[in-house]
Amino acid sequence: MEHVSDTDAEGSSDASFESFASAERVRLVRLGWAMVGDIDVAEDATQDVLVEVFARWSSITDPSAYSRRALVNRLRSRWRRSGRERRATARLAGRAHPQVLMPEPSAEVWRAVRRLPERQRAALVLTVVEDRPAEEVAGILGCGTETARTHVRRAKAALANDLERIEDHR
Amino acid sequence: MRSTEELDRVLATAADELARAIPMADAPQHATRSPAAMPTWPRVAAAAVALVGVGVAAGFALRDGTDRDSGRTPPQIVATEPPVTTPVVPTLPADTPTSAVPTTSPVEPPSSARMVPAGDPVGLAYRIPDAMIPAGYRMVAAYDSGVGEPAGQVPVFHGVAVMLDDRGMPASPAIHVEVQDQPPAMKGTATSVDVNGIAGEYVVWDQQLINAGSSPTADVRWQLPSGKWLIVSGPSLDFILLQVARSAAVDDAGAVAITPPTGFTYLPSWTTFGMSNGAGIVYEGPELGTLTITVQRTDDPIVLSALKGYSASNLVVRDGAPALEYSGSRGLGAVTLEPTPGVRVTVSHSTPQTVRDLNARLPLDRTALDEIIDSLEPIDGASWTALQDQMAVGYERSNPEFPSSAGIGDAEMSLTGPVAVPVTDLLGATERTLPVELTRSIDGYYRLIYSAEGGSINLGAGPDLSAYRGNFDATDPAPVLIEAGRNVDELVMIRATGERIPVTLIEAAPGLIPGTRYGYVDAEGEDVELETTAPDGSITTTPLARL
Repeated sequence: MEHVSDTDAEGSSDASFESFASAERVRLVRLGWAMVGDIDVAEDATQDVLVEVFARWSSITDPSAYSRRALVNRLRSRWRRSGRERRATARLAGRAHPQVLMPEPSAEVWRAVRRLPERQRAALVLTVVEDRPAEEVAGILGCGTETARTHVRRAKAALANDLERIEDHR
Repeated sequence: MRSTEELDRVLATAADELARAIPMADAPQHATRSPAAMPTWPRVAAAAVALVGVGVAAGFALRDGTDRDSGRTPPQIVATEPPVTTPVVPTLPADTPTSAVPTTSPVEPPSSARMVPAGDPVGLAYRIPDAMIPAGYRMVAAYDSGVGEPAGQVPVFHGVAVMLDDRGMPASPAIHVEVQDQPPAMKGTATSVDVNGIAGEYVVWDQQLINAGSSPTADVRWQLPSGKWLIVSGPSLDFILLQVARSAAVDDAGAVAITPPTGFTYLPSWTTFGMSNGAGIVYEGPELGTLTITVQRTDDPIVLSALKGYSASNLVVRDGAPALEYSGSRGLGAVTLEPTPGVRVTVSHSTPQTVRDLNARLPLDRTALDEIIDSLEPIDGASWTALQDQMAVGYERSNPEFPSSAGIGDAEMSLTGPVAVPVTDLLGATERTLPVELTRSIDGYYRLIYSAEGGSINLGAGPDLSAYRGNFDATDPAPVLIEAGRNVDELVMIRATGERIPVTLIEAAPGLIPGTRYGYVDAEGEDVELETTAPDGSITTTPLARL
């Protein structure tokens, strides 16, 4: 699992932002995709978040955590609009829709993850995709450490049940 | 149930495969630019600047393009030479009188759209002054393919002219500039108008053809010497003429230049009709913040491929001077000001209405947020408070019940009960006072959360309180179902995860059929269907009135 290093929070120079954006963009996209399963939404939300981070670069002490919190929040509202957006997009010129391809067992897992309640999903994704400890997950989600652990625990329990149910239906 | 260890292995594998599926190597080649790398939009001296009905800039050609949706071939714009004309200096004083001659005649839509044959350079001469283009960039033509337009309308260009004042703040409202091969196929009546000797027509659109809340209400149009039509749209005839007459001139090539008032510069952007999210500009933060233009491609896969690595453009306003930043990745959008030839882009993510209202609201700050809160309809026993201090960035007046409600952004307000909410009127129950938490995002969506033992349930989400007629959850990939138990007084919420949560909120639900599931599904856009799953498994859907 890929280790996520925090970007130097002290740097406020343009170069440090560029370095941050370069290092974090794909990770944020992955996080976004894991949350919503739509690469378009994930990339656009990531882009928006980076703009937000840039605008506040000098005042953000932990851009890594800030960007993830912003992404989670943004995806929460973005998700509501994404369906209509995709439909509108589909009407346009039959354009190809970029997809993230992966073996079906894992794809099924991610679909199941996305059926989790919002907070549980976010906590689990931050834990699994980014290998973040509960303390960091709590910081990103703005909750207590124990709450973060509870989210992850419940998410795993629900996920296990969901996956088991899917297997049973096969 | 899977063991914890087994589940952890499955998740680890899924994470690894996600990393392979979206590898670091796939990062966009053009990573986000640092501010230093961003070209700075020159401040434009008002007297020397003209915004031309935007279209073509120097030396580029639009690569083809068959409109895959309609099979039509969109007009192509080929410019082989850089623009040779200089910006048009205004020739009219600000108080130039305008006249609207009441010569009314019916306007008939053209019988058919006249398309420009593929490969035919149409030779548009609409230019943006060089000073408007950031160093290192040139303006690409932007027009949509006509998909979503009323039949017969294929704009060559559709732009939104947004004026920025000397602080970089957009003025309100925006006007729309459009160039078409033919007059718009709008029903309505035309009135001759005259602006500095230039005869035009003022058209009141048929309201049936206007997207509610997102379109201007009037056109003034001129037929250019080239035979094309320039359509300037705005909220009213007076406003259009004011904007045009105070600064408009027609140069020899037939381009209409609109020179901004002193202290203003124009910021062009694009829009497309037919998109649910329209077009526009997002401004964020108090004072000078981030002005974001997000664009959406309507191009063919060839150009999509060529554009891989770009998605959104962001116009960052710093110290009053907008600077173009683009960065991004695949997905929605391409850049508006981007050096790649052959790109057609359109803008998405907010509506012209939003732009107008956005402009009217800028700069938004906590005070503005408080104003929005204050404008919300009071509900006994509860009050609205801001959950987040992120600024509202948009503003819309589409909801008559909450005329100052919707917008764009992350600001969220919370209303904590007890609140009387008619959660079950569809099911025949009466209004109840429920221990719920009602949250309302600034973009106009409400979520009603009922906290019950075992977790909280999103009882519904919708654009207004009347949406709470069941369990339509727009935020959930799978709708939450509601199931009538043996006793019709008993309901069970079934989450998408299969979790069943008994809910006994409803005194009576005579319309429920025992053993039948009721759920709401998002059928199309904001339309909602009631999905009924009978005990035998058969599913029927019933369209519901728009929430």
